[in-house]
Amino acid sequence: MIAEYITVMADDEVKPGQYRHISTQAWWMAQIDQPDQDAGFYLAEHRLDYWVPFKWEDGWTLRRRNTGRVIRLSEGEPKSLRQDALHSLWPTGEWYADGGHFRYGDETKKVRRASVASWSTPDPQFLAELPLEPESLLERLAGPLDASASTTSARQFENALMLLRTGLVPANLRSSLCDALSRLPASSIIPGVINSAGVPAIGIAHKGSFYKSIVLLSQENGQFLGEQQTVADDMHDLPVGTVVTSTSVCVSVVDVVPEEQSQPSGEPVSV
Amino acid sequence: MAAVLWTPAAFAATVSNVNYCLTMVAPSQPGGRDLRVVSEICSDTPKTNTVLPTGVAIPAATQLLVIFHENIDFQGRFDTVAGQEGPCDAAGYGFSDLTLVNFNVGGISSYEYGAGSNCHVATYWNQTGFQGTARVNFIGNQPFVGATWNDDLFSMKIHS
Repeated sequence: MIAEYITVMADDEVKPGQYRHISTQAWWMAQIDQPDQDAGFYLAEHRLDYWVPFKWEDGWTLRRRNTGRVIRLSEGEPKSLRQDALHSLWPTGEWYADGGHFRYGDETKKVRRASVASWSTPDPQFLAELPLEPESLLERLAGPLDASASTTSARQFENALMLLRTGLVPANLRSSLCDALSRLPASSIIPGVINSAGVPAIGIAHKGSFYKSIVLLSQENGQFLGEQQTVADDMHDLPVGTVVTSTSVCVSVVDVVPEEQSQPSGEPVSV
Repeated sequence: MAAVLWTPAAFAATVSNVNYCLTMVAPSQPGGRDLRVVSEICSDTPKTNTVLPTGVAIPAATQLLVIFHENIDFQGRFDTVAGQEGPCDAAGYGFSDLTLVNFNVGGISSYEYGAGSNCHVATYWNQTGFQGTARVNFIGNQPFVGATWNDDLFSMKIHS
């Protein structure tokens, strides 16, 4: 049982006027397919910060930036690739939106609400309607997609991961989610790991057809601490064990959304 | 089955069992390029000689942008995403949340551009909001989105 490894599943309380701050440092892979060239694979580093107000429907802030650090995963130089091509892939800037309904146009003003709650963009009703009993929760996590037994397990794990990434899953539901994930046949619990920021964690690993994914949780309060995804099958043009996603997440409670400060770009890294 | 009009609110409680969908999108803000779903119509039978659902009156000036497919090689269920903002140009369009399209087709595995769309380049991500692992495809129609994005293609940008 995952509960054996976590002191107490708990959340810091957000009081009126305060924000839940979800800060993510992420290394994400980019695959670039150009005519007459082998595919290029890269890892690029990003920073994402969400500030979620006491009242969910009030104004959220999202700040995204690329650090400039890039790791080339594939061998050989591409014939042509603009230096800034990787950095311009992922949007950067600051967005505001009531209820977290962000729009990624050029605008940075408040926007109207029109969205659907889902695993990646839950709302309070979506969260409240999820069952807490692990087997029932697994049924919901399987979703409506037609799938074989093996891909159902992967879908359940991925849907849970999407929800955990938000940093907004309350402790009781988080406990059920983790319990449910650890029941999947392709899952295993890995105690004594650390996330990419060096924070001690408990891992729940899942071996899918092509990738091995690990969800990282705090030993103290079960909060989501990040994830790691590595290549688990040779068909992917990358060696088995290659990291394609690695994130560290810190969830905290703050009184204000700080002013944005210009950050120096990191030095490019190559391997 | 007769054509069904779905609203986003119905998404969570509905199980997809139709094969042909038309998803109309429009800018989330005036003049913006991030397109949001404004309506969806699905059917289990296609309009004659098309992959569009039967019983659909296509509004004038509608441009078919991308046809998403359930399976590789453009097979399985279809969802045609269309708008009225014209074909792709250099700035192109973005779909920041393809959750509903994934729902309609049972997970995206391949896509092709609509006739006359002038779309040639796509970037897509395995998370909503243009987050997560990205793939840039300069090569046109995509018969397989790749293992990383198969059934996990949740946002996308397209341009000429």
